[in-house]
Amino acid sequence: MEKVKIFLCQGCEISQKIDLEKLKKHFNSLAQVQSVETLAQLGDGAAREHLNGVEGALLFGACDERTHGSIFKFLAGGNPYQLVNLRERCAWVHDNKSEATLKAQRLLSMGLAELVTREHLTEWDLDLLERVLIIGAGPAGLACSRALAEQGIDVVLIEKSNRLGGTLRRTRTVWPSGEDSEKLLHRLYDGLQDKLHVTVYQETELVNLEESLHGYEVKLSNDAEEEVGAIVVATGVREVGGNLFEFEYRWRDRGKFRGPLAFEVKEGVHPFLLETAFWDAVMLRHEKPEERIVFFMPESVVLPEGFKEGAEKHNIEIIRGSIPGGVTGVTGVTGVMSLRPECKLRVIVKMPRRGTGVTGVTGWKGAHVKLGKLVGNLSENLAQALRIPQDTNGYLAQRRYRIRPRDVVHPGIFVVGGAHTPMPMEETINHAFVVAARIKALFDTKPKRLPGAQIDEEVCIGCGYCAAVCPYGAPILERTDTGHKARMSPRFCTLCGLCIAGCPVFAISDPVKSRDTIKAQIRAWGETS
Amino acid sequence: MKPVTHTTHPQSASSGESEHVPKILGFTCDWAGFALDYAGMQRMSYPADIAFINLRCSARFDLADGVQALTKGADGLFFALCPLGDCHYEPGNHHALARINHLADLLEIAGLRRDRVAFYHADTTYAFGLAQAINGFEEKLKEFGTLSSQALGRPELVLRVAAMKRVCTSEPVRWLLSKELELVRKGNVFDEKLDPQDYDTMIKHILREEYEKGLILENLKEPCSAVDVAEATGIPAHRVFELIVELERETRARLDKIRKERPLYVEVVDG
Ligand code: SF4
Ligand code: SF4
Repeated sequence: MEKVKIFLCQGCEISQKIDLEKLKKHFNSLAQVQSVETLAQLGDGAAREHLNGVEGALLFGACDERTHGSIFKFLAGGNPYQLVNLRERCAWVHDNKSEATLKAQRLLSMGLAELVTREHLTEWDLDLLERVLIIGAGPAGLACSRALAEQGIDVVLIEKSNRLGGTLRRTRTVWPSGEDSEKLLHRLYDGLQDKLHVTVYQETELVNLEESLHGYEVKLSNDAEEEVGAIVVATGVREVGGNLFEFEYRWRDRGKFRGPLAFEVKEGVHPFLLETAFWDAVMLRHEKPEERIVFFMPESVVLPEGFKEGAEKHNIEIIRGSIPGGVTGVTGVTGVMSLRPECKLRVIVKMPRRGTGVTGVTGWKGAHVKLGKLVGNLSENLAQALRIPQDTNGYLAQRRYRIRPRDVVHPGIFVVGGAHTPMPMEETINHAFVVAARIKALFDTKPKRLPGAQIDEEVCIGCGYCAAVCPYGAPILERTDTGHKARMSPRFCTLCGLCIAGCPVFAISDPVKSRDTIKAQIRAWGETS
Repeated sequence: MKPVTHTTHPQSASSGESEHVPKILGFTCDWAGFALDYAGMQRMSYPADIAFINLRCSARFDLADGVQALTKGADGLFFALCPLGDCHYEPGNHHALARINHLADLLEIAGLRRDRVAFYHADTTYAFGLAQAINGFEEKLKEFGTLSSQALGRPELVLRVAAMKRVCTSEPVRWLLSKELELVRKGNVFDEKLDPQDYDTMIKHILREEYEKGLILENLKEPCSAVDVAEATGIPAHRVFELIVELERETRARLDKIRKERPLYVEVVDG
């Protein structure tokens, strides 16, 4: 290691509170140090001129990395450097000059130790490919593809089913505005297929994902292999324990409906389903003024605003109460409902008679629609491959909601729309545009990354600790002939150090602040007196 | 009473006449470090004998580093970390707290005060609280006296710290500490979860045993009989015998020779 040049700032009370001459004398006597200089204001123009063309490792004793870091980075001009905060961490908090000087000496010695033990790291250009994979061709995915394609970015859009549109295909109206889904769908994908830059694969899923130099290499189930710079997860939501989507879909396709209509609302229903069902009920009321339309729901379900009034107005019944065993007795047909007139469907609803509490039986002939739960549609495997933390409902687990919704999970991986959590359609589409803008910005800023933690495979005993604790899923435990070994995907690592400090055999190292650096710092701290 | 002379270095101030100036090593994560800078901006003074090492996240703190600080003359260790649930690396500070706790356990086992380890959850704007916490910690350490001046005397302390170091670099111990998540929170392969308190007791038990083994091994660098080891370490002789037998089984110690009808043991140093 070449010798270190130390520059101490005299500004901001540093020279009044700290005996810089004493420090100069001390550090000049060290073998590692080539020179120690004090300068008036390190951050201003004079110092820049003075430092112009300087070479070798540089140690600055001045101020805060956070506020002035970029200035010192500039001053260092590509040389390895270390900034020690003598202002907030010393001069401004300690009044006794000799104490403050001793502390400044300690801090500088620790900084020196860090500087000389650290490998010189070069930031690594990500050089991302301007091509984006969008998973899911629902409203979010379509809006995002369009926005990106319009900016001249290549888009690969994959969809699991054989039709584009996602939820818009399955519901008749848009939540919560009540707009016709078909219209919105047409607005979204009009001309999308003809657009340059967009490749659409239907009935295709993501099979495998690997990091590459320019982003991610992905393998698709149709055997296509693509390299992309960013990935957008727009897998949306899925209905479980209900059949509202199916009802709407068939209704639109097959038309006529006959007989009374029962909506069975389950506990934990999402307002989206409830409101959509309500719109349907109102529409049906217009078509069939004489039929009974009833919502059965447990007491615990909170009605959306205006629901009750609207129901009264349109003569839609709401029956509250816990239904023992739920609504039962569907006979004759596979599946729970069919709207074709030739189909005879009997739904027996057992529930306590209002007021009396006695279980009675009411006979229903007609359709029985269940409103279940909405869950995230992102499969566990895919979530694991993309390192997306999921909550129990399959949505993106937003652990730090206080900062902002975390639409960026990892550099270059974005989550939009319902995959976050069910949200109004306008929000979904806005979200898609925001993410498109972020992706464009990501490509334009030419991001750099420092390397992540490194695992020494020779040393690793495959205990699995790192893979289990890493909040970002960077290390993965792989089976080998002789047992297990951990393998690191540095792109996902934030260098938090959790696994580094916990690995039983010290197999993981931090290239930015190595174990040796910390040891050297503690030594330097201890030796200063 | 003499005025406090802060110029004396803590290690040389072992005479006990002037007040001790404790030497504190701090660890701070990048984010709680902002509270420290904020304290600077607000000119909140705190003792100058604390210096911080910056880590990206408090989870980077390794037990072994804490023990190393003790060998370098730390009278106390102070941690500034984010409030729980507000860690920038998600569960990071929970893990850090567990490690801090283990360090305190280890100190206690070694016959030192566990209060020589302190921490403060500092949000970026909690500068005042942080400065106060440091002040309070310094007061406490002054009361405890510096480690070097404790009744134990320095050489014995060195031995204890060396044994502690063996504990926190030992693979089985580290392995067990790393299993907390699995054993306590997720459950083992049979889906049995350990009660956190049981886990704690178990860890303490194992830390103590490893510490005692470490202390014995420190004394077995030269061939030595169990009775002499018992005398040097203060561990009852029967316990020393037990542990030496175990160490033999683990091939960490072996019988060296028999002198005057007494077996002498020695540490096995891996090639
Ligand atoms: S914690 Fe260390 S030993 Fe365990 S799997 Fe990870 S790298 Fe390997
Ligand atoms: S340093 Fe943190 S982010 Fe990186 S692999 Fe380890 S635990 Fe994961």
